Amino acid sequence: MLFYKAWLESRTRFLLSAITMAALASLFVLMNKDVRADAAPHATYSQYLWLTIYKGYLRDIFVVVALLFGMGGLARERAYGTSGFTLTLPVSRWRLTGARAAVGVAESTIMAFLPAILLPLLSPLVNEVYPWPQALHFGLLWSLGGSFVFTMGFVASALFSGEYSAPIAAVALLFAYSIVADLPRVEQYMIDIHDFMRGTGPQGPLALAAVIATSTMLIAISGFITRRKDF
Amino acid sequence: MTFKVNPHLGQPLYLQLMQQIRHAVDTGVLRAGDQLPGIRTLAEEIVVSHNTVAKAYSELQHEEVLELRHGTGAFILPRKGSRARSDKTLQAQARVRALVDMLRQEHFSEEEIRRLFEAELSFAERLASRR
Amino acid sequence: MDYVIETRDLTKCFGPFRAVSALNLRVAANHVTGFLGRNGAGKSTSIKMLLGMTYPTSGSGTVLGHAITDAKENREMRRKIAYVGEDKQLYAYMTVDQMIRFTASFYPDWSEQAAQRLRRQYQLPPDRKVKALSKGMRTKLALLLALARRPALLILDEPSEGLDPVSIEELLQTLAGVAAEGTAVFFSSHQISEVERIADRVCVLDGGKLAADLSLDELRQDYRRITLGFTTRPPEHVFEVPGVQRIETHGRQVIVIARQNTNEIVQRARGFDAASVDVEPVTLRDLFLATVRHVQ
Repeated sequence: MLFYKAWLESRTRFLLSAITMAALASLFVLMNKDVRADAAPHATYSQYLWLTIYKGYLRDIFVVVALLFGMGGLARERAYGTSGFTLTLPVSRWRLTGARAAVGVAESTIMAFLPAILLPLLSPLVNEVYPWPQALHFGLLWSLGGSFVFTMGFVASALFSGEYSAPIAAVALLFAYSIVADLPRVEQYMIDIHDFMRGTGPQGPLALAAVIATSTMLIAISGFITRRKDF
Repeated sequence: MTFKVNPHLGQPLYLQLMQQIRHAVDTGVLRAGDQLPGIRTLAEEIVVSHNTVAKAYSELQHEEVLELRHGTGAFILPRKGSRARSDKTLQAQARVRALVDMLRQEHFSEEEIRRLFEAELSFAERLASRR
Repeated sequence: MDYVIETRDLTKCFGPFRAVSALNLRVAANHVTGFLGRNGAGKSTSIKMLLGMTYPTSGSGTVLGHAITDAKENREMRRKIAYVGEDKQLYAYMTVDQMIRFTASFYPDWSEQAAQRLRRQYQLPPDRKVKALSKGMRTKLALLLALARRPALLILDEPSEGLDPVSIEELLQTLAGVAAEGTAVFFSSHQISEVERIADRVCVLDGGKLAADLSLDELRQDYRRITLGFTTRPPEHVFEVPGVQRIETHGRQVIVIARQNTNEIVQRARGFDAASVDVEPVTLRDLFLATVRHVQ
């Protein structure tokens, strides 16, 4: 039932974000003629979609949304006054952390696959073709990348309990990471998740494993922080 | 039959409850065979701890004023010389009433009369119990 | 005497501030115990430590025999107890029905029958969201979630806070009923009038320390407030007899609060030609104020 609770807590923001993403992705496809004429007259259909969705606007929106999906948790519950109820349930704090993380990752993954499904599906309506393998590949990159960003937000929410301080800290964390990942000396050792999601960074099995491992570690850190906190 | 206890009287609530039950029996308001509510029911009704009711019932059972029947409540027992006892109580009540009226006529206030009685009672209690 | 709660030197420091100091609390099974104290005395912190929400700085304790500082044991214990916190907030986005189903899933001894009976008794509409419930209804829902099983211990933190008199009366009746069925009740409050009606015992917490632990029967039977008036002032120490809790002097008036030996005190007063002697009971409020109000 903890999954059910985490779902109920996040369902509004998830549905709104999902609808927005789906709508924007669809619009980019269906209005490609007009947008392409303005923004990228010399690009092919694939290139155009890559520019607008996988490199551009939609990716940025997805990153912000995934980050904010990490908000919530016991620190916020304390502000609302329900942490006493939740913490006295006969479950371990790890289970509470795990359930919220699992639901968040599932939600970001679903969001990640929305463009992956809509692009190949809707393209024939405008007499274009978008290859399924490519779409699904991006779906995979986005779901892992999105989950990573989600866990960054998740850690921030474990550390900060304010309605504003948690998201601000999350954004700060993301910025700090992005800047560091771009530094010339660090570039070769650290995966830049933004490039990863654009499809221009390392994508081999090692890269995928590294992203998964880091995300898992961030959830574990959040779990430790929550476990040791006084409420 | 309901009761009211006062937490400020300087007397444990169970004793107050016992007195009220005994008084009802003495004056004939409660008769042999009458049923008092079960412990839980009475505790909820007068909003006191069940231990208060349990102690009162238990002591009264010991004094053979009532009998606890498992599951159904407490039943007032017939008393030997019970008629005599309630007559005695009624007579005592009449005497106290007469004395209080006399004191009122001498312009003692209700409060002063109460204090006079209490002072006498406390002394006696203290002398008897050596606390 | 079976104890449902026992702590040993339980301490909690927040930096330099000692919220709870070497607390040795004992709460008996089958009794209703009140936990009194001023705001900030450490009542909530103590309760949170018992429930594993806050970690003690030092000391230990058991609830129903389970060690409170061991995560696994504490969790096992929480399966057998119920808690209604100060906040009385429940998940705003869930309906009454959803809250019931959610909570039921964690307790093997949940009785759906009891839950529905209470829901009807408290008149809680099943499809109404928690955020649309009044405080009184939320408290009732919190009680329902606690009582749809037969917990061995019910812990409440300021249960009547924010409730109107009718709801308070209903709450006290519920507690009396629940206690009669074998659930030990431990509730913190600063509403003395409620505590003195239904509690068997009272623990007073002051500045993080246990300042008093007594039975209300004992308080009413034995404790006396003796007000003595003199024409010339006798030395206070004359009345320092075993059992005396407190002596206050106001001009030529001496007030003694004693747990025993009331006779002795009155004899000594008469020995000093007391002009007036008044012996009165000590109410819980008197005792509480005397315990926590420190003489300047």
